Amino acid sequence: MFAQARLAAHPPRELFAVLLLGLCSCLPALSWAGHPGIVKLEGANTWRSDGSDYLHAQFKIELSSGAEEAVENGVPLIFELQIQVVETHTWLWDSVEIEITERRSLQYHALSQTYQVKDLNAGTQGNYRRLDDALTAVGQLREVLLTDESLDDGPSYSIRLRGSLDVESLPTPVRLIAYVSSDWSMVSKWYKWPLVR
Amino acid sequence: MAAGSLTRISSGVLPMLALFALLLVSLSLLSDATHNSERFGQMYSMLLLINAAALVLLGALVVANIFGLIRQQRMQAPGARMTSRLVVMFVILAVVPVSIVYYFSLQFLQRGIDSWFDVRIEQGLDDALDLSQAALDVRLRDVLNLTIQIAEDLSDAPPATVSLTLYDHRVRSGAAELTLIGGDGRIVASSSSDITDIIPDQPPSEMMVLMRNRKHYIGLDPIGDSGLYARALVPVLSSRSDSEVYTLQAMYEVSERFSSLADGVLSAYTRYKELSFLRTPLKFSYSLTLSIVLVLSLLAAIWAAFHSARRLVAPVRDLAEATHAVAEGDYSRRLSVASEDELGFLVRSFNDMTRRLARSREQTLRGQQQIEGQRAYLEAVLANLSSGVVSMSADSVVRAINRTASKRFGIDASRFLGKELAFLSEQHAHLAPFVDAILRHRDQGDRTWEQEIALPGENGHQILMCRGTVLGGKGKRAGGLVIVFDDVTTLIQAQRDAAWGEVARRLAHEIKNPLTPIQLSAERLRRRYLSSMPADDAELLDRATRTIVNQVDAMKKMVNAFSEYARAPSVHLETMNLNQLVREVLDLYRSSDLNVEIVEQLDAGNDIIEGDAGRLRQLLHNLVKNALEAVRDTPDGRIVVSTCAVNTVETGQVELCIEDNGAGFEAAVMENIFEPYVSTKAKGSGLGLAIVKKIVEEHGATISAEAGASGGALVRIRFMLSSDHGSVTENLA
Repeated sequence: MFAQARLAAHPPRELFAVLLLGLCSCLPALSWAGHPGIVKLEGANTWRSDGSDYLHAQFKIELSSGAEEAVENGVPLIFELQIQVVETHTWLWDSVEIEITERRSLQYHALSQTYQVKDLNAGTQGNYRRLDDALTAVGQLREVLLTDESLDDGPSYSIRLRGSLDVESLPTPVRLIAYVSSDWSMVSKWYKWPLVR
Repeated sequence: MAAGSLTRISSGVLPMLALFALLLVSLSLLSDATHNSERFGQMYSMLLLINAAALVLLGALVVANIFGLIRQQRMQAPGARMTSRLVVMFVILAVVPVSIVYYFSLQFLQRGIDSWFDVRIEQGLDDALDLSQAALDVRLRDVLNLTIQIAEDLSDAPPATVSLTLYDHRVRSGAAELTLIGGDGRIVASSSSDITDIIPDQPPSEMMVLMRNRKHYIGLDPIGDSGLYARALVPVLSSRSDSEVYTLQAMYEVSERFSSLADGVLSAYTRYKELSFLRTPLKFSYSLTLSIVLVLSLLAAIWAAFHSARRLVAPVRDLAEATHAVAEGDYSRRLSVASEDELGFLVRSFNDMTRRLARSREQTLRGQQQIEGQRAYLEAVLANLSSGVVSMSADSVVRAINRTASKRFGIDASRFLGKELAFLSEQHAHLAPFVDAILRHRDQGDRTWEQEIALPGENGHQILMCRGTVLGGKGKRAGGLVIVFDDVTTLIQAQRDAAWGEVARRLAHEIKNPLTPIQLSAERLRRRYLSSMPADDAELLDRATRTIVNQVDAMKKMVNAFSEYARAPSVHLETMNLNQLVREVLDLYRSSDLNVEIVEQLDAGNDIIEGDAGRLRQLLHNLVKNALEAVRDTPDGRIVVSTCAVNTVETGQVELCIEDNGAGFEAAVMENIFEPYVSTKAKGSGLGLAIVKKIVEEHGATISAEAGASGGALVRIRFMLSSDHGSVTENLA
């Protein structure tokens, strides 16, 4: 149902943004004037069972007008839900102990007029008549195994959670605009709370 | 510093070619990536970053080059203006065609992308999709009706046989899966054609809501790689009393042929829609790639323009710098011949020219050095010559005057160089006879002449033997005059002294010999006849013989004085104290009852001279006796003997003055007062002052006579101070 995967190494988007900002001075004409996208955490909880910690979380995802138009035109969107278990230190930076990245793709199927949501880690798929239901499915994390017996009991741990649209997976022409346009900037902040064991 | 390193990078050919090659590869990959190829699609961002970095690097290089060129132009560096002109020309040559190509490429790009899309194709694809959906709708209605029938059959089936009934219906209807779902979502029974799929496909929650409202559902479900399925959901209305509503879910596989056709239509439709959506971003990304290529090409062209211009201008700049150096006098500059073209020929010619110039200058310098050497030699000779030398130009301007001449004249003659000769006599009146003689000979046109000239001085006349010669030849010195003169004062004086000495010697020899027989004869006559003669005769004889004896005696003294004067000098100079000697001599006269006041005014210091004490004592006796005789008839006779230091240009001197308040010298004899037999006294040999002068000359001193402040005679004698008078003073002390 779920799998662990190390975060793929991508060039820092901020750097691209800075470099392309100068090049794409004509971008305002290309930007979509519409509502912005939203990715935020609606709710999450962890529980312990048989020595392991599990997570259930739900992100609220609203597509920006540009992204919605892209989906309606058959462009697949890939969302990344990043989960980190970090060891917290009083005087030092937190160290990431476990990192899980759930990748979900959303694509419109014109023939069946459904939205297909695929779990790219597990390979499962769901079809939804309504976009909202599809987005709910995209932002849903169910019974994600966070830790097992290998994690020491001594230190204190926290959960960090973030959801975002993977700009790098967009078609190349759109990617240029996505680097610099706030219309395509769909990323939540990092949510963090202590892991109670 | 950064600009310097950038300039160094930009000056190399290999880095330039390497950068161009990298840029080409990067741009080619970027272009490929823009086509969304799988190979480079993921690298797009990295390629964009690399190209942006190259853009910044090239931009920095170009900016550094531009600033460097501006700075060189401000400093008016050689070649800067030519480099600027070449760069501007190259840039214009590069920018104009590239801009035209860019403009048309952009136009073709926009129109080319727009031409992909056609309203008719779009409509056709929409229609094809609608057709597919319509064809599927018929099939869906059939399977819905079939499912409704199965649901009706199931509504009457007892719960124990539900599974079997489901199996029978699935086999008969050709459904892929039949599932009976309870009202709470639990699966009551299921039958599937795929024996590996033991878990039936769950309907989405939204559909379960429909079922609770007892509505039918039919739809297409694309399931992974399995293809299209028709999903039908029908409520099973049980005739039994319990109120639970069951739902029958039936999954029917769409036929393979139908499915593949529908997939083809869907794929084309989706691709077209996606491309249509991507039209604007695609145009933008292509334009951006093209613009990056353009800007990079332009920057590279500008950089190459700088590089080429520098390479072209470098030999010219080197030549300009070297020419400037030659103009500044640096003939050692050589340029390396980098090419065999016209510039190489020019550089070789320049090197030949500087080599010849250097050789020529070296010869000139050597000649100048020789002339300077000869001049220095001549100056040294002139300076050390015992004769005075004065040269003047044809217009009587003094050109050279040597040290001996300055010494003889007693002036600083160097300040008269470049001035007219007449100015010399204007400034120093005593040189007037010298100047007048020269000018007179010049006016007479004498080419060679010789003349004895007497210059008036404090210590009598100074006799110069002058010889003048007019310079011949051609050139600026022609018509000039060289005058060589010697001071013959001492020589003439020596000749005169020698003549007098000879006279004295002969007189002494010729006169002294007969004097003794005359005296003896007179005394014998007196002894023999005085007692025997009568009184009158005896008195006459007595007077006559006494007169003879006395006169002969006087004559002897006179001859002795002559002998003394003519005697060869035999002075023995030694360091002595003049004041002490003066005191000793004066003390002798004080003791005698002369009724004359003798005053000493001796300077305490600076009285050590080189002298012969015996001769100087004689000198003092002569002078003091002369003074005593002069004041004998004066009521308040007074003699003042004084010494004082005199500072002259050359060395220190001490002056001995003897002054009386007698009648003084007569003006007629003043000129020759120190000559023998020149005297103002009734008595005396006339040799006193001549001997004094002789002694003075033996000591290298000078003597002069003049009228004193009281009208009496004043004699001044100047002795040179001893060079080591300090140490002698200590010894004497």
